[in-house]
Order: sequence, then structure tokens, then C-alpha cells
Amino acid sequence: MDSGSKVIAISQYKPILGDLEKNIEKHIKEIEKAIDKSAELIIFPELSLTGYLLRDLVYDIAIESNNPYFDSFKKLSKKIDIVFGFVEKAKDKLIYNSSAYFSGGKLINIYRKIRLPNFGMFEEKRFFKAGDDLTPFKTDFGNTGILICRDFLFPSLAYSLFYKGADFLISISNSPLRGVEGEEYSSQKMWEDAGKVYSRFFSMYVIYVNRVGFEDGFGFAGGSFVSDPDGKIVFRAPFLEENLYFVNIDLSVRDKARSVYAYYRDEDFEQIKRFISEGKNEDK
Amino acid sequence: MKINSQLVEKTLVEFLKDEITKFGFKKGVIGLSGGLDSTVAAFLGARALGKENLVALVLPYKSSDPKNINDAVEIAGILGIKHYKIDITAQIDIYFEKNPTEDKLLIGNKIARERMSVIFDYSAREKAMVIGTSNKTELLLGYGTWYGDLASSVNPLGDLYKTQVFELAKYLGVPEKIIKKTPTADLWPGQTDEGEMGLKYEVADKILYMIFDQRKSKEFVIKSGFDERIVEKILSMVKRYQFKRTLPIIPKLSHRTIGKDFLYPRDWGV
Repeated sequence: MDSGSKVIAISQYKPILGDLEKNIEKHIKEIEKAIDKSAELIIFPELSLTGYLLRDLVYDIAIESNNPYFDSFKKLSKKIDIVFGFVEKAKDKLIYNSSAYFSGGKLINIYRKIRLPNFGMFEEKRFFKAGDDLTPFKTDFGNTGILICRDFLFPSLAYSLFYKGADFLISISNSPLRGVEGEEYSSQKMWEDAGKVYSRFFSMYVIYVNRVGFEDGFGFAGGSFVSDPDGKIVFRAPFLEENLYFVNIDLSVRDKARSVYAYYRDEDFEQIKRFISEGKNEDK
Repeated sequence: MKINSQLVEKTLVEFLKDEITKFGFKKGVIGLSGGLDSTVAAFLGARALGKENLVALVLPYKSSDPKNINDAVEIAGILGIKHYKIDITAQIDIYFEKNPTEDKLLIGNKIARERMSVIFDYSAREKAMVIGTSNKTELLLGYGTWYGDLASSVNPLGDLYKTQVFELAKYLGVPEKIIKKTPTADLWPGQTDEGEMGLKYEVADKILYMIFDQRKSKEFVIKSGFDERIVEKILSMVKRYQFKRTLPIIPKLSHRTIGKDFLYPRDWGV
């Protein structure tokens, strides 16, 4: 695994709702800017190729992972790793809320959102099938795991990635802002709380990338952040501002944390599996 | 019910900027009454779009309190926005000469709809989007004229209770005399919101907040000290006026029906 200092680009992006081609054009411009600044990875938010409030538009905008639109991203990924979100039509024609990771000229990973929110203002289960696979993959940043939006609010998913050896966590999000009574949006605090806990106790870098802009009155907060294995927020983007941010991360901080704090070594995964397989208390 | 006014202002300014400009508009148009809600909405609109891009309409009827009309003009002056003052008495009176009534509510609704009609006419003349001024309290209680003052394209105050609009107004620097004014639709002399509804905003807001925002039960609200009759009254108003918060319903015939399973966002492709 490579250690050392790396520049990553966080695109706190505002998509054009339901316009794949314009979003692809805009993505390519952002990627070119990131390449100019020698970033090694650029991350866009959830559903960045399409926008969030798609509803029936999902059927028109879903693409298969072998689509020709991805050719330009493959080409650009010879110079920079790229992550974005899109509506995926799988081989069986079912539709997923997915991310794509491009590196070295290839599409190396598709991740499908597992925990689809379906309450209050959310209706993702109406339009998407939930994913069922959680596998970290090798990149220049380590064993990389991806979680999409609400996935990140389930410590069990982050823990499963930790168990499977992930040490670099990318979380892409479309979190609608809500709660205006405190210092900042109350919805935002929960993302940072989760990020700080995962990065510290699972010894990972956590990169959380949230979108901005409004769709039918839903505002998306931005406030993308990076938290490090000391549990510190080392970068926080402003709320509501569309921009491309560059963050220096030092992977040796992570590697040191893994050696010294040794949470991975001292965890007993077999015991945890046994605890869970013993069943719930009320079953006894 | 507390709000962080700074955060609310920032959010609503961004909301107006984003939801207006992405449809290709630069400008907004707003009816100014001299009251709190339209003043606050105009403050936000001017900050979002720039004072040169907000157009105010002051639309007196012969019974309007001249103080309110003067205050509306003064607010336009303070904000440095262009305003048109258009007296709508002639078109209202000619209608009621031919269709006489003594019912204040009929006349009030007609005035509110005439104002809406002028504001939408000016939105086309000025290539501007209509900024609404209805707050969450009046939307929930149905205290507004359907397709009158309730009609707009974007409504920045729609998720703020009246008492929260007061808070925001203070933060935005709205003149004291506007904040201190007794809330009124000013559709006939002596009308006040609280008198007409038989409710105090401070009480109504707390009850609405507990029931709808905090999802407390009716019983809980009454137990915490609110008058049962008032709680019942508020709940029945919310229910009775649900129709004012919806689009006209369409009977389903086909396999794809507008309002039912024709599910496209309003911000489609923008």
C-alpha cells in the first residue's frame, strides 16, 4: 500500500436535474480542473450524473455500466481516479442508486446503495432496488470502501467494511438540509458525528461528499468533510456553496494509527459474529 | 420553535436565487401590503436577486388603510427596489355593481384574486417570477384566499410559523413599525387576523408546532396546558382547508394520470 501525502479533489456539485449529457459535460470540466491541480482522486456526490429528485425520470435516465457515456471517464482516469453517482440499470433491468469508480483507464468498481431511505420525504424504495454487496477494493488510497448517503448512517455497514479490511472510506451523499434551530443544520451534524467515529475507531480516512443546490424546494447542504484516524475533522467545505475543493491527506497518519491504536488487531471478529448469531435477547 | 435567523436567511436567499435563476429568470415580482410577511419576503428577495431585480407591486383598494399603503411604498424605498402603485378599486367596484353583495368575505376574496391577477400580469411584463408571502401558520389554518394571495411560484416563508417570521424580521432589520403592527389582511376596515380567526398567533403556532412538527398527540397538547376548544378548532381548520394546499384533483382514467402516477419533479431538466 502507498503511504504519504496525496491531494484529493472534492466536488461539492450542483447537478442539473434529469439531464445526463449536461452533467457529464460539467463533470468532465471539473475533472480537468482537478487534473490541472495534480489531484489523484476526484469525488462527486451521490447521483451526481442525474440529480436526486428524479421519481419517474429514473426509467429514462438509467444507464448500464457498459454504456458509451463512460468512455471519456475511462480515458480521464488514466490521469486521476474518479468517483461519481448515477442511476444504474443492471443486466436484469432493475434500477439501482449506484456509484462508479474509475482508475487507470478502467471502470474498477460499481457499488449499489444498500440502505434506501423510504420515510417522510424519502421514497427511494419506490424507484430503486437495494444493493446487496459490500466489498472493498484496492486503490492507490488503500482498501477502499464506498457507502452511499443513508448507508453511512448504519455503523454496521461501516463496521462490515472495517472487518473486510477497508481503510479508506468514501461516502457520497445527497442530504437534504433540515433543522434550523441550532448553530448549523441539525441534519449535518449526524454526518460529521458518524464520520468522526468511523475514522477514529475503524482507523480510516473518511471522505464525505455532499451536493448543493435546490430541487423542488429541497435544499442540499454541502458541508462535505474529511475526518482522519485521530477522529478529527481535517477539512470542512462551506454550506450551500458549489465549488471544487482540494484537500491534502497524509496516509501515513492512517498507517500509524493502524499500527499504534491497533483497533483492527484487537477486535475479535469471530466473537462478534458469534454474539450476533446467538440471536436477539427476546428469542431466548 | 427557535430558529437560527442567520442560517434561515442564508438558506432562503440561496433557495430564491437557485429556484428562480435556474428557470432562466433574473427577476422576481412581489406584492407589498405594508405588513410583516410581504416585507420579510421582499427583504429576502432583494438580497437573493439584487435590488435591481426585484419589482414590488402596491395594490390599494379604496378601503385599504392608507398607512399600510404608505408603509409598503416606504419599504420599497428602503430596499431601493422599483415599485408600481396600481389602484384596483375601479375593476373591483365595476364587478360588484353588476353582482352586488354585502358579504365582506366575497368582496375580500375578490380583492385578493384581483391582486393575484395583477401580480401575474406584471410577472409576464417584467419577465419575473412571482414570490409568494404565505407563512406556515396561515397555510396550515387555511387563512388565505385560494388562487388569491395563496398563489405564487416560489414561497420562501412557507415553512416558517408567523412567530418565526417575526424573529427573522428582527434579524433582517425590518423597521420596528412593521414588526409592531397588528397582523391584518386589510380587506375591510378593522379586520385583524387574530380577530377573524379567533386565535392568537402565539398560541396557534405552539399548538401547530407540537402537533405537526413534533408529532405530539392532541391529548398531550391539551395536558400541557392548552385550551381544548382552541386545540380542536385548530385541528378542524387544518383538516377543513387541506384542499387549499393541493392542486385540483383529477379522476384516474388512464394508466398514467397527472397528480397520481405521472411523477416528475417540477425542477425537471433545470
